[in-house]
Amino acid sequence: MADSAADVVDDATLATRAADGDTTAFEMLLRRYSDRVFGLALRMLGDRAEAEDVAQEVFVTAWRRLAELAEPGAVRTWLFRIAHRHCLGVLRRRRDRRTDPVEELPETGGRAVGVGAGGVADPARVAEAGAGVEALRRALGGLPPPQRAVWLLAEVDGLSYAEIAEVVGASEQAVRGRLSRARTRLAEVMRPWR
Amino acid sequence: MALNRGRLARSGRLPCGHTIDSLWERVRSGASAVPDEHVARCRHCQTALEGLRALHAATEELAAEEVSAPPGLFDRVMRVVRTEARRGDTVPLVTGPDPASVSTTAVAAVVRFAVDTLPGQRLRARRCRVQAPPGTVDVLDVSVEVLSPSAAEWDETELRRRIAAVVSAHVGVRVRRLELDVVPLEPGEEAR
Repeated sequence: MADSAADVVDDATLATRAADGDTTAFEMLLRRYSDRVFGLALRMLGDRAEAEDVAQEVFVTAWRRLAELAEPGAVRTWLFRIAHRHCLGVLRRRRDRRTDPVEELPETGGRAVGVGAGGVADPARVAEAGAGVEALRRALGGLPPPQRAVWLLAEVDGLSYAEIAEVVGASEQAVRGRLSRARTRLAEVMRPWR
Repeated sequence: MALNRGRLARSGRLPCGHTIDSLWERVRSGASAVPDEHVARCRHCQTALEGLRALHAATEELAAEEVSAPPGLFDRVMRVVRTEARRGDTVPLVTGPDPASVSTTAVAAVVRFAVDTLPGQRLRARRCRVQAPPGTVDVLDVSVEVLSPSAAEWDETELRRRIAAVVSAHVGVRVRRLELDVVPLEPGEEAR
């Protein structure tokens, strides 16, 4: 057990080396975190191409700015923080491009994740397996982006309140509040899928 | 759903006084949740629980989905990284009509390799700086941070000799000054 633990190079070592310009160390960080960064972007944006652009931006930014990271052991949270910022930027630009006032209603404010904009599906009609998760994706798409981000980081990525606060740049108390509002809203939308 | 939507969304508190968060913890802990007479009989709690159970099931499904980054992402990022790394600082190897140089990043990688592979040890090199003293050729000043398990016993002279030998063999330059900054690691810390 000790052997396998020691064979995996820890984040702090990789981040310090990468900050020194070690491309192999950076490559290992990229392998370790690309799926999770891409996954967060995909669930935030609901669009693979945009999520891929964000993930690429995140890692190129990380490579250029690793030397500014004061706590190399926190590289995972730091990557999520960059990803979060880029995702909110994409959503803001998306919203600014919109002219149709209907699409600015809170229910459809951030395009539904994984499906077309808006649209409430009938639970009786969507009876096949996976319908619940599709409904959740759609419900997530209807949350204000800051609530969606906090919910994903907590429930999908398993980050602690303190880590989420670090990622989104808010107090732990604010994180708890957003999470609670997201949960309430999602529970209401999900009830027909019980 | 007429579940006092506006009020609920603001406070997260049901008309009976129970909070959505406490009910969520109840759903999450599943069978291990302590039975609660109020919750079992309260229609507000039961309505909220229905939604939270559906949310919990869908959340588990969503979290279990394996998302893989697109295959092209890795190559595109590394292409940028390698291009920018090549533009880094260099130190001179030979001067004269046909000068040559080597990147400090490449030398640092060799130094780290020498540290990481000290026989019988589990040392880990971190920050490494490589500089050529002004006006010199074929000599370098190196400083390197070495993480060592606190209980490990190793000979610093041996590590210095090894770094000098590996740099000389792989880069062809002499290490003039070598600064070792040894950082002790408590057990378990290295796997972080």
